Amino acid sequence: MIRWLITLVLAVLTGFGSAVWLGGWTPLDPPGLFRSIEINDWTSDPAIGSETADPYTRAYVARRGLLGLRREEATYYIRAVDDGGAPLREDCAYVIEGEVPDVRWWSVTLYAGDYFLAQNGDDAHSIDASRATIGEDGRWRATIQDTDPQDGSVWISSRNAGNFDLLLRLYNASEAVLETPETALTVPDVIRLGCRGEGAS
Amino acid sequence: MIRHILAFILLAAGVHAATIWYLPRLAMNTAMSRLEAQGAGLNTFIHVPPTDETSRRVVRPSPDLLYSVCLLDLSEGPVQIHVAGWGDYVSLSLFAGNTDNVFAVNESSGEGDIAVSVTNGDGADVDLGSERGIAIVRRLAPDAGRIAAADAARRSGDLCEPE
Repeated sequence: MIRWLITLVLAVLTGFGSAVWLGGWTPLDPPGLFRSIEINDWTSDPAIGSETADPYTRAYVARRGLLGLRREEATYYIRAVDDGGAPLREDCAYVIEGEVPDVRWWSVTLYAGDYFLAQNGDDAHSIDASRATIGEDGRWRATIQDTDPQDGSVWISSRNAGNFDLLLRLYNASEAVLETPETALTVPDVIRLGCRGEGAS
Repeated sequence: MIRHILAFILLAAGVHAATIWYLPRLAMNTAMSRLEAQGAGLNTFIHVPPTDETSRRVVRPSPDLLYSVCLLDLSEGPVQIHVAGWGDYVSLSLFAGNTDNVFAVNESSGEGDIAVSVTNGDGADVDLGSERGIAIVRRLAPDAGRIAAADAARRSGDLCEPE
């Protein structure tokens, strides 16, 4: 009887635990999910919102991107590391820069570790196509750090964000961006300028 | 011993499959409950205030979009939705109870306004595939001027009601 009871408890724990992990409902990233497209550390999955999504992708999106739109309306790319592969941190400063994508509208938004906007009162959570200034080199730029750089650049505040991630939204992307993003989409770079304690910020 | 191992595998697999199936529905029910707790009624639009750091009902809200939400209950029949065009991006998206985005359209595909009827089954423009779900209207409003214009448009022209 005891053996059966132990078997029952272990099976329920194993089944439940593996499901919440592989569905992305724990802080640990499940293997493979949201990585069917990967371009310079930006990852995406064309099955977001789709009726054809597998149950794991559906569970993942429900936890980390509920009510995301299907790809014909919008596509989403996420990254949580800088160009050197280090996690994005509140106590570091970054420049994000990129080309104008072939889409109707785009934005990049910073989210804290709980997948919500950082609670900092700075009203500086994103950059979007309407506010980006395109430089002579054809690229837009913004500064990501926990204080306003006050240098005229667009500021995305990381104050109170802890370890954060960035979400690139692409609305009504061109057919090329949808079908062959690896060649048709030039994703933004995220360059770390320095971190507190390293002598630069 | 063999019987215990077989029972473990079968039970663990069953619990795993049931949990994976249920998690999206849990997320959807939780989101709908939060919206209802905030005063959202069924089959009527709630015009969500401009997104900021206090927007914590649904993960990853965009601060550059103005949202309106209608909690759909199709148990009594179809619901009709009308979304007013306002000269810039506006979309209507419909989400089933399992989180699938079963329908999405924006103003560029028509005359500016969007009008659809939704039901659970055949007989309307869109089959939601479930009795309950969520309709979301997104308007591009990245600054105060656009927010004011989008808010005026939605309050004067958006409609979600039983047929």
